[in-house]
Amino acid sequence: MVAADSRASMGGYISSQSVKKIIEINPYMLGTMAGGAADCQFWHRNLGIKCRLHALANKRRISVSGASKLLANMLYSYRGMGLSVGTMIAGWDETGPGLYYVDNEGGRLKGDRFSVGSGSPYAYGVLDSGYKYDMSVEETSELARRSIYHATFRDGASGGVASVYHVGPEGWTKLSGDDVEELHYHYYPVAPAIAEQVMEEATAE
Amino acid sequence: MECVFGLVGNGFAIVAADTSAVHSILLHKNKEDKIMVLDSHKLVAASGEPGDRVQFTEYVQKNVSLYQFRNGLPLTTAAAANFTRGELATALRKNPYSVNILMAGYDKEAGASLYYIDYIATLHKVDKGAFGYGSYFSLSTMDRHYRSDMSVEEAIELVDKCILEIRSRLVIAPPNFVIKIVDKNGAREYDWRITTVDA
Repeated sequence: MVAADSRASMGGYISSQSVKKIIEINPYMLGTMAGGAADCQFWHRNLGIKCRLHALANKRRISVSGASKLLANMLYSYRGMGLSVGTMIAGWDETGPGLYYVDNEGGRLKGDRFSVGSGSPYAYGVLDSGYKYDMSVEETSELARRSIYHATFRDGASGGVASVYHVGPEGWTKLSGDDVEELHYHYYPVAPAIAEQVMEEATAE
Repeated sequence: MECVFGLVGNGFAIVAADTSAVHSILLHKNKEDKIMVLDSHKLVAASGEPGDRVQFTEYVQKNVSLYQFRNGLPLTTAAAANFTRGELATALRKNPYSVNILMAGYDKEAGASLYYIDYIATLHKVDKGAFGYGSYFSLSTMDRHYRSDMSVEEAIELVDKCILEIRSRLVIAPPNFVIKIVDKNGAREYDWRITTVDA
């Protein structure tokens, strides 16, 4: 399950509330965007090209491990040159589901769950406390949505729309895209205020 | 910070490393294996920047394999350590790798050996060594209790003493450690010391 917000900021200015941070590398692999938008978009597109070339040359799909290693090696060769990429590569291959964290320093980690970006500590708090390995798809998508919402609540650089994608044996599907403002009132509805004193209109006498 | 330490015993060498993958204040993963099995009878415990650590140790591993394919003979531990140091030295004044390495190996002639290789390409053959903030605690503990002909059980006791000291005294102590051993039967994982399973 992959989820992301959609806010882009330039310092204190919110430049966009509708950025696609979940990048569709190919029909069975997704990448997430954190850090520099241009770097993430470009290198994920480049990774998609390399994955397609691998499939054509080897007559079978590239594994998630292989795809993430290609990206990590590419980013490593540019280390020290100021790239800013914090991404997760999620996909499905012969060994089942795969999730890798890759960053611009060349680090690459295999794991069961990750959170990346400025709002990541907040998301980890919700994600870790609600996570079990054997959850249903509905439970997991709600946990993912909730994690993004809580991160957008506390982190100024996160906001916009919480998108949730599911990755399965047949590939990925988009499950939902909810505006986090609406999610806030959905999770914390405003109780109607009981007015103690009501101002009356003064009638012209 | 990353803690790596190791020591040589009677016909074996042991290395232990923490298993935390950290990014500023975030712990991304607490089961990251930082001790690579270089070949059948060599271990490389590495600490340093995440990209450099994996890329450099894999580079060394592939070159050691290539030598074996080309020449039909494995490299000795001393040769592999000197090769590693040479690569670090060549890169040092251009594009340095920030990796500290403890290389442990077993050769039929030389027996068990441990090599200390730091990020500025220092190379020493040692009986015990350590890197990271944990070294402030593990080095003196090892100095006090180490003997050159320790059995595996005694060495593991010493490793556990060091891990306990690191856990109790280091302010951001890593929760989990992995211990690997190399002896005449080969290089293999010995055990894990886990306090925190993933949430």
